[in-house]
Amino acid sequence: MNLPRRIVVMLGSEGEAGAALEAAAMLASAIDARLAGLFVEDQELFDLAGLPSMVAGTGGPARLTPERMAQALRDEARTCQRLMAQMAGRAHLSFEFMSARGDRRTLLGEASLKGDLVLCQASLGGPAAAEVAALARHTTTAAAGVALIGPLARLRTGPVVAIDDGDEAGQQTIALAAQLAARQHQKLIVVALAADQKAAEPIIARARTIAGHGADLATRLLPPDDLERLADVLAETEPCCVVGDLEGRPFTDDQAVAQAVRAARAPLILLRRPTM
Amino acid sequence: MAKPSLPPPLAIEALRTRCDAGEFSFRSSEELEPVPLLIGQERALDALALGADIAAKGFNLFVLGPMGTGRHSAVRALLEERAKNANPPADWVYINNFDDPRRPLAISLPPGGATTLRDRMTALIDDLATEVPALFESDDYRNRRRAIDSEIESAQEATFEELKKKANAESIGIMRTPMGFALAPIKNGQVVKPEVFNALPEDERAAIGEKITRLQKDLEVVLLKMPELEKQRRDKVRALNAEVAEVAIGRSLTEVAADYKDDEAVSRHLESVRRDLIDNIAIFLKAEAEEQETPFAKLETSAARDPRFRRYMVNVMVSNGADGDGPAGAPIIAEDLPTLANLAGRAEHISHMGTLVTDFMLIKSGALHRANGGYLIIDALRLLREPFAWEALKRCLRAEEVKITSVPEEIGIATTVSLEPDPIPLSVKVVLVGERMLYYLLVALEPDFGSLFKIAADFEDEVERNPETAGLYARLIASIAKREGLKPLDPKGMARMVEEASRQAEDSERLTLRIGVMGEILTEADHWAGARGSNRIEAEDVERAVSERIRRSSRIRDRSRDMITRDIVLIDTDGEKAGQINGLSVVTIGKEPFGQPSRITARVRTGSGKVIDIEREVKLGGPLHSKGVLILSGFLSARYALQEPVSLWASLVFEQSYGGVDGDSASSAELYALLSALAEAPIFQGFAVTGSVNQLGEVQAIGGVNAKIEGFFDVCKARGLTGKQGVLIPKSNVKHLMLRDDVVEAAKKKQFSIWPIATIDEGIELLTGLAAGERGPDGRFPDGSINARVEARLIGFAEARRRFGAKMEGDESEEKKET
Repeated sequence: MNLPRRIVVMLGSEGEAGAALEAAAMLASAIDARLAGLFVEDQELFDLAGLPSMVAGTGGPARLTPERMAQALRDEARTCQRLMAQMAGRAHLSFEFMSARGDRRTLLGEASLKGDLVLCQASLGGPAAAEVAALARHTTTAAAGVALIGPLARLRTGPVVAIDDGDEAGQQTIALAAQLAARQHQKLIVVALAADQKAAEPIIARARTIAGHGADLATRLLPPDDLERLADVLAETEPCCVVGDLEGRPFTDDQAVAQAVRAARAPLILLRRPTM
Repeated sequence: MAKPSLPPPLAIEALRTRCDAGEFSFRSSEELEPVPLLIGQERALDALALGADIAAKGFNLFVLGPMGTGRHSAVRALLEERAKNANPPADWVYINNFDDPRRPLAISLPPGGATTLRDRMTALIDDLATEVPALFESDDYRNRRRAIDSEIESAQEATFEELKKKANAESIGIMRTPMGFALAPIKNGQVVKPEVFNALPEDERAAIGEKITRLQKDLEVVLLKMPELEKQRRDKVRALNAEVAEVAIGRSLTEVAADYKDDEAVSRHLESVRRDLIDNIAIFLKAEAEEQETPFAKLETSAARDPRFRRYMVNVMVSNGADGDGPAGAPIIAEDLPTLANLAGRAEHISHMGTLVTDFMLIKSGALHRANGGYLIIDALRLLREPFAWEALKRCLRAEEVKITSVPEEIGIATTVSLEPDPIPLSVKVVLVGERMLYYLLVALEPDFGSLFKIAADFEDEVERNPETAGLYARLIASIAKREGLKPLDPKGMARMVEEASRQAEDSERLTLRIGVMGEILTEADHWAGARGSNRIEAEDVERAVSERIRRSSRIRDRSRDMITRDIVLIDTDGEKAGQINGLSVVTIGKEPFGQPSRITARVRTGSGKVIDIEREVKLGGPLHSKGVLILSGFLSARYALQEPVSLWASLVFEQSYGGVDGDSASSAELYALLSALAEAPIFQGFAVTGSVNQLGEVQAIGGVNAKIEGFFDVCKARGLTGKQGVLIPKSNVKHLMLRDDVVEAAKKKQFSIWPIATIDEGIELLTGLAAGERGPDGRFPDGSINARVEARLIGFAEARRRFGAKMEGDESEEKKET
């Protein structure tokens, strides 16, 4: 399987770039990928600034102007770039940083190339997890996958959880998850979406083969129609990241994606099925 | 004038008092019962016993006496006897003061209790280090924790979502900008462009503005709510952690607390530990987390070594009793380096990130702590040499507590924050050991000394020699031999040791109690016996030990004698000369002092009555020597030509002496030289003289008589004994004679003699062979006697002076007439 070679991190005015960059650096380090930062100067913010608007910040209300907005975005971009350089330096990763003004969907689509993993973050008060999931899914059609960070996610140690419904795409899910687990010296937990143990056996067997005999592997069984429990399983296992199929169960639904992101409180990596 | 009848020389028996080996009833000294302590030290030992037994404040001891008298051993032995039957004193520990870490608390525990408490606390922390993380990893905790997080996060999200929905319902969107949150009109989910907005009718724009203003207030409320929700989360997590911690800590601590329920101080401390552990339970989780992050295998070390848990540890200052680290009974501590820190303890510092830090675990005990409840032995001179040590000791004894201070604190320049540990109550018996001079100086000059050291144990230098004490001494020597693992002595060897003891005491009627020296001689004798292949120490071994000791130290003595025999230093041992005599002095360089002769000369003429001591004039004469010369001047003035003014000018000098002289032991020799010069009666140079003289002409005792005699004997022997040589000594020194065997042997063969002299008249007769003469009823000395000749000379000087004075007056009056 071909792992992503570049992780494109979408950054913006929402703040909380640290969490996103930290997650991106962790992933890039685990799969030997490069980092690319895309700071989007959202056109909507300039539109906002052109209106008679006020911001409610910690310093009290203040009037917005396009000049102030431009300056603020430039400052924010510089901060993000510095942060990225620090994280890349610590992890010995090569990186590039882009800043562009326009529509997020368009810019993200243009920035992501085939084989990239696009990382987006939902924020409190900003785009919700479902919005971000939709943005990532429908914009980055060329990318190999998306990684989503929830609004209150914190980088932590823990097992890598792979969700496999047994289809062909599950192979790359398990492969990526196994690599992440091995690199971080963590356990790999395979959640097999199967009706019963017997149905889960091929999934588990495939996972063992892909992960290798020395891997620290555990399995969980989850009926595919009991996805409510998935949130419980993710919360209970306290993973460092979750890997799944962007186009397979249960992540075909953006709300389900949002729910999983919220429950896992860790990056959720959804891989697009490889095109023939 | 008839020659005087000269006194006979001393009998051989008087030259060295022998010890008869036949008086000993043993065949080998192994048979002798050892002496438990010392002999002849009853006064000192009784004082030691009294001082050790009195518990009242201020009855500390000063043990005084010369080195080598067994002071230290006696003190140690006596204290050990008492200490072994005493109850071991309490243990002391320092613990953290959670309310004020700068003031560590001291707790007293039963003997052996300190290490037990320390180990219990260490085990407690080790147990908690395992139990607490496990509890916080439990499903129950994690579920409850997740529930709290989830509840708060959901509330946070819901709060925002609610506002967003409300705003969206009014076609207003919330956007997050770098400067904060902003509200803007939206259409189809997009922000309305400014040109579109501006194109709207004014009332519509106003309506939008009003909505935004209203929603702005709601937004501000929401933003204020976020930190409140976060605080709620922290409070709930804290409460949950405390609840979980209480379970783990309460269980473990309760077990420990049950064993100390009768100890109020420990119970109080355990309660403080419990509260602090609950408040800071996160340190166990942090320690666990850091361990998990390392790729290295987990090392099995005690969690108690982790710096984060230091504040729960116990610093054992003193541990007594059989269960503790100390011996059973009361402690006896000898502090060889009595610095301030070694005596009263110290708080050490370690470097941390460029600064010096300390805590209660870095408090180190001092000798006073370790001796608390027992005895502390200190060398007095060493104590006084150490800065601030004496003051600290006094302070602790007066206050009856040990308070730890540092040198900067003592001199008032301490500026860094340090510790102020609780002082520890002190009950100790201090024994200072020192020389006599030091004791008397302290008594005279140190106002606090008398109130703190009320008992003086004065060790004797020597003991009377009689058959009984000789027997005791033999037992003492036998004890030393046994203790040091040396060969036993046969009776002759022991007799030789007894004789040596008298020689070391420089008194035939005394035995030295400087057993250190005797021990050294015995050890060397043991060596020579072994070299001979003998398993017993015999007289020849002791003799060899003594002579080898002297030989080792005799380089300067031999060089000095060579200079005399080679006539570099002029000393006559034959012939006769007026105004010249051999005096005797002792040179003290190194361990073995030796005697040597010095030429003393006197010159006389008419003058104004001054006897010039040349040594004093050039500041080579010490005050005692000057006193001696003034005394002999007084003798002359009071005995001769009393009707005439003293018209003598005389000078006295030690020829070829450039190193300074002191003492008056040569004053009789100087007087003989002066009388010889005045009487123009030559003195026989085969004699040497020692003895001081008083104004009445009585010859007085001096020190070092044996060395002086032997010094002159060696010179005479080197040149060849003539049988006419000898030494005049004060009669009162006869009892001090313990001469070498070769001197005694020469005296036996009449090759060398020792004369006891009581008066100057006796001495001058022996030295000149002329009668001294006694003043008759007519007030005159017999013609031709030494005294008559001296008096006549002095009268002559007076007449000459008178004539010179008359001539001077005559010359002056003639000058006046001419003018």
